Amino acid sequence: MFISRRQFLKYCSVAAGAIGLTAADLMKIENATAATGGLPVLWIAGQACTGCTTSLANSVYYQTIQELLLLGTAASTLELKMCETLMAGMSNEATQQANLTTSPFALVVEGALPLSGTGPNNGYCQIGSYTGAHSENVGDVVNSLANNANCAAILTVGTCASYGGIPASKPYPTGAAGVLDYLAAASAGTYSALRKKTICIPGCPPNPNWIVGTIAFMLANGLAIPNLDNIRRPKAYFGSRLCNNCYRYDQAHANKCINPRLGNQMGHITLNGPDDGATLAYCLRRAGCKGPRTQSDCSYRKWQSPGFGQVGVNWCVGAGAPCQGCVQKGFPDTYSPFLNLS
Amino acid sequence: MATVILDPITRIEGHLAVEITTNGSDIATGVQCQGKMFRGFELILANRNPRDAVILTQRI
Repeated sequence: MFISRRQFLKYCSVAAGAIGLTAADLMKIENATAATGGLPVLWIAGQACTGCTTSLANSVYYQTIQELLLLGTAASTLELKMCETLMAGMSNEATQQANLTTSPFALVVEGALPLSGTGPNNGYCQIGSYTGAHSENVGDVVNSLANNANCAAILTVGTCASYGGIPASKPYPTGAAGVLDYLAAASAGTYSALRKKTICIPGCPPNPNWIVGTIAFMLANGLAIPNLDNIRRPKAYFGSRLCNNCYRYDQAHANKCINPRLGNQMGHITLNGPDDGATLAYCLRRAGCKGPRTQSDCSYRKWQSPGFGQVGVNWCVGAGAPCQGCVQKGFPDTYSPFLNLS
Repeated sequence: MATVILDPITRIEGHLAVEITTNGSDIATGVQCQGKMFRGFELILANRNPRDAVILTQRI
């Protein structure tokens, strides 16, 4: 559907959306949010690559980004009130949205927060002008929004915001940290209360379904936190090992444990590129696949869903690329090197 | 001599601010574009397996 730029900007200013789910879920959302009036979302970016926002913008499985932002009904809304990458307002107009925190809101953080070099004019990541000052450290903004009494939930989207990610890898140039680690250092007194309302949705980038699905769950259940594992990831998306539904695991090993000495059952990546085994169907563990150590539903849900409710068209391993373990807490250092040539 | 500060510039990737110094009415006498975020990718890439560079720089 064609939208002119003027229309798009007009819609972005309104910034309301709906999340499409089953009829039963939608009814639950309507009943749940009739009382609360929807959930405003403030999306703050720290040391980010904007991949998480871009991934969200490719949301299709539950609801498209067009529907998320434009076509909400009054009763069931995800109101993306503040998101610098997508919104029409600029400068003060944009950031004053963050001051509208008089009713319950969700704080979404993308990107890591730097712990080093955070004096008033020498921060490694500064955003403005949330308090009217020219600019301030993103960590201070996140800290004050997280501690705001109306912050109903903190969603750390992406591995950088959840556990530090690539900015927080050796040699740690900026003291970057995930949101929880940052708040543990900067807001130690309230940390345990903040942790209780934090959900981590890692991934580099995360699948848009994980983000949209988690917010939909919260809207449908009175802003309840879903079942989380011990590092605050929703078990619904990160509860099982990647190998569990990987077609290559089944083909090569008939549900037995992988024996790395079975060289002829493995795909290899050589200096000349992948062999037929790697491209077509064999397990990529010899090539450096971190699937055995990764908890994610990529092998079920896949990526790039072609339409509402449809499984994705492909995924990393399906394309012959060994899993990088990008949803895991140690990414990238613990899962590096990513490619084994043989 | 007034200063106009546009911070943040929205609808872009990353963090950017623009600071415009004017003569008080309608002429811009100086403009600064300020990149407001640093991660240190070149420092991160050093001393690693070079094949990791493909994976890491995808996320720049």
